[in-house]
Amino acid sequence: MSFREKSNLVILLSTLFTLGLHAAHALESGPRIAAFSTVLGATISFVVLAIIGHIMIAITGGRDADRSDERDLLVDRRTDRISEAALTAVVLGILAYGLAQDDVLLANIAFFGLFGATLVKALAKAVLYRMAA
Amino acid sequence: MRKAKSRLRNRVRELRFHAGEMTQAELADKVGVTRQTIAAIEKNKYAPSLETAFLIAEAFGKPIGEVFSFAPAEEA
Repeated sequence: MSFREKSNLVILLSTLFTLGLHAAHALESGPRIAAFSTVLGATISFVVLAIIGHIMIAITGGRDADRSDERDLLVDRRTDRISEAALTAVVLGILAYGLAQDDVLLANIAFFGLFGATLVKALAKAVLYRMAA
Repeated sequence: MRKAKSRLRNRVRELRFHAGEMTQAELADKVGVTRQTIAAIEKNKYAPSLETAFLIAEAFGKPIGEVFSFAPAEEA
């Protein structure tokens, strides 16, 4: 298994642990938990777990840690597309929730987030197409 | 929709054997890819870029056509 594959497993396990912990806390305290401290705590625990995991795999066999190749890029591109679709679905959900609850600020943040990302993508594509033309 | 099977074939495994039983890791180091990518190419699970294909051929001192071939449609 390559370093990047092991690294991905570390991220997967760290994410599952963090999400599980946060979900358990939310179930216990209700969805309106003290957002700042718990989200910050979850984020810090994720970063710490990921760092420890990466140190461990680097010590136990990080021979190719500094190497990534075209296959890694291809895998990255495909998985980015999947995560982009998931993120878009979540933001659309937030937009729908904001509109349903008449929460204009939330709805606008979701709206500008979606269209802002589309704008950035279109601009980047325009530049890249011209660079390769 | 199922992805069409690649028609690209290669003799990387055989050429490694004839090159003093060169390991996948040694070839990977020469080409600048990971050992897993060489393994995937050998199993026809991954079609390398043209540049990597040339680099593999160069590592064996062979023209690219002797390392990689394109199977006719009916064989794929």
